[in-house]
Amino acid sequence: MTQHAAGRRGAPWDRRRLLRAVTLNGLGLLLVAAGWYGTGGAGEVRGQIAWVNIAAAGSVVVAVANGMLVLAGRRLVALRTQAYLGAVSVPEWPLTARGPNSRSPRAMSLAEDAFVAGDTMRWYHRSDCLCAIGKALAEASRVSHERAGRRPCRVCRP
Amino acid sequence: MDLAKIVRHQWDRVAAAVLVGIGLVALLLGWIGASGTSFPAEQIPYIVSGGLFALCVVAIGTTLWLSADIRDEWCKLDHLDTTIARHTAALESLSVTVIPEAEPEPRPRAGTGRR
Repeated sequence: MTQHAAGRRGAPWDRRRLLRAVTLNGLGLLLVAAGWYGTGGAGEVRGQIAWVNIAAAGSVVVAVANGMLVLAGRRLVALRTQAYLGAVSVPEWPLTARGPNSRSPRAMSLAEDAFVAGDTMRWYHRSDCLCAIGKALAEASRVSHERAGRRPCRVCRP
Repeated sequence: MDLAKIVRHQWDRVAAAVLVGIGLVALLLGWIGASGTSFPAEQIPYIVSGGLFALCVVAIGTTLWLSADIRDEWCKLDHLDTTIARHTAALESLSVTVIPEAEPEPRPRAGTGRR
């Protein structure tokens, strides 16, 4: 795998992005300083409002510049991590033994009508749920499971 | 580890801590200044310098700290890159030197086999 093209070694940001962040931070601090200078020079509140707005705009510029920098860095790190983990397949929800779209029509009808759970279990599952495979469970309808105080499994989401 | 080494290796975290400290001090000074006068026209400059300026400095410090974390993650990925490249090169050299390409055995011509 080659060095990521977006940034220099040791940091995800390229020079242009860093320069933009530094410039915007400087501009924001300059606006805050101008606001401070302006409010100090004005004798009345009426004359200070505009300068306070300028200073507030400067702080917003600083916040946006820093937020953009951090978000860009997080995104670049995530992209590079995904490049490493690209070969690992992540199953889609709901997590079942055969995958979300690979059930036979019979299994689908069973899954719609009957769900499985054990006598002492707190959750009821689809019959092909990863949490139910290999266990001796009894089938029953959703209503009867919920009457018994069980809740739907969070993995297979029956 | 001595202080100079920490500052050299963790300059962004040290700068972040210093900036957050400056911001908190500015906030405190602004509060003290604004509470010392009852005239709004005299309080507003303290709000701008002690409030908004302190907010900016704390934001920059926080960004420096977060960017230090991001740089650490990036360096780990760089290290992973180097390790993978080294192991790949080692594997390739092994496959070249240890497992030479076998020459195919000559096939017997038709009619010359054993009867």
